[in-house]
Amino acid sequence: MKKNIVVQAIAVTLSALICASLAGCGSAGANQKIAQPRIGISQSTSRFQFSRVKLYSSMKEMADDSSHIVAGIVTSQKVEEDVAAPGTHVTLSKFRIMDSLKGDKKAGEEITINQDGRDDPMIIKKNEVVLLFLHEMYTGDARDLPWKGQYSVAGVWAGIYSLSKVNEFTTLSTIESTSSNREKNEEEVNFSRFMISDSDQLPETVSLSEVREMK
Amino acid sequence: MKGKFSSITRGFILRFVCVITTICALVVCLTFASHARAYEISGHKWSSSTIIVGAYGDVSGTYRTALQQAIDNYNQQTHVHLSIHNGGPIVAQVVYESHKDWAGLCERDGSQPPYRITWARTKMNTRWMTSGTSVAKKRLVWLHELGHALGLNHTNNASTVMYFNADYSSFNGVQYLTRDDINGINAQY
Repeated sequence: MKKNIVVQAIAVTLSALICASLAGCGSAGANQKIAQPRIGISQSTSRFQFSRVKLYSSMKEMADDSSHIVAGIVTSQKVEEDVAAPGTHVTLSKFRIMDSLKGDKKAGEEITINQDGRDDPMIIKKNEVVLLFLHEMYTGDARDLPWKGQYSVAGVWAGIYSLSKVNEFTTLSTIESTSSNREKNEEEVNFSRFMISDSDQLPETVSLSEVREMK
Repeated sequence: MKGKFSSITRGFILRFVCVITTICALVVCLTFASHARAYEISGHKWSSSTIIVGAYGDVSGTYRTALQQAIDNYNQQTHVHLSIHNGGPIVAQVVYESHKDWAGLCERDGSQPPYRITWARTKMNTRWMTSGTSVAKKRLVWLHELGHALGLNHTNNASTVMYFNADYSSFNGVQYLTRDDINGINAQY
């Protein structure tokens, strides 16, 4: 009798522990630490100035020009010497996709974002939640092999939008973990322009559903 | 009486027209004055107006010709004097950078007090600026990047070298430093 009670107690404890760990996994995204959004940064604060090859007259044009459009979080990053220009650096950011709006990548996958320079306001930071308009750097040309698996931002900085409000991250986590009500949830997650510049005619704020409609 | 009244009225109307004309003239002058200045100064500058540009990597052929022409243009039109020698604090590089949306870039220091630039690195991307690209276009990009290296920021005027995109500037007939670009440089050196 006493032995049965002990066995039952152990079983209950184990069950409780398993349930608690499963619940923890389920809400991991929502509880993840995220950085405060950076919105409306002035380009003049950057050490880097670019002569752009293309200026976008609309969000649709930028979406059409992008091979991938993804929303997610920067999980880690490292600085490496630029393979193209020794003596200069690039920042490689690991980015976990939470919602994929264009391209062959899926939520949960991780990709690498390649940005010129290091320690600069223009570069996305760890734990930042952003919407990115991207180019796949490897285009099949042998010269692009060193960049296989890496992505660059469309319009250098134009293709970066920051999560508008921290509390919308919970909804983004829901989008990542479930496919139900995706359209409704995407309406509620908004992103704002990361860097302000007169070079492009882009909206200040967009929702994920608006971007999805553009592709 | 009637003649006196009409004389007073005529005088009043004349004065009124004069005042309105003066106000309009002032508004027009101020509008032109604000439009005349497009250049944007970063607030950072070199301590000397004589600066050496070091060309590294594959800065040869038309890339080199275009760089030399850009430097000549600065020397002839502005108060700065640039020359090409290895080891210069402004680095000019020609590189292949895969699919990145820039034809040229410039990184410079000087963002901290006393806001003196001590080095700058300029790059031209051969993905977009190929060997077949005209010398004029390459010169425009070098002029633009050297402008950043000297302390200028972008302008919103597509008829200047310092506009965001060389194609737009070129389309607007810009081939060399414009009066506005020159004024921007000379305001600092």
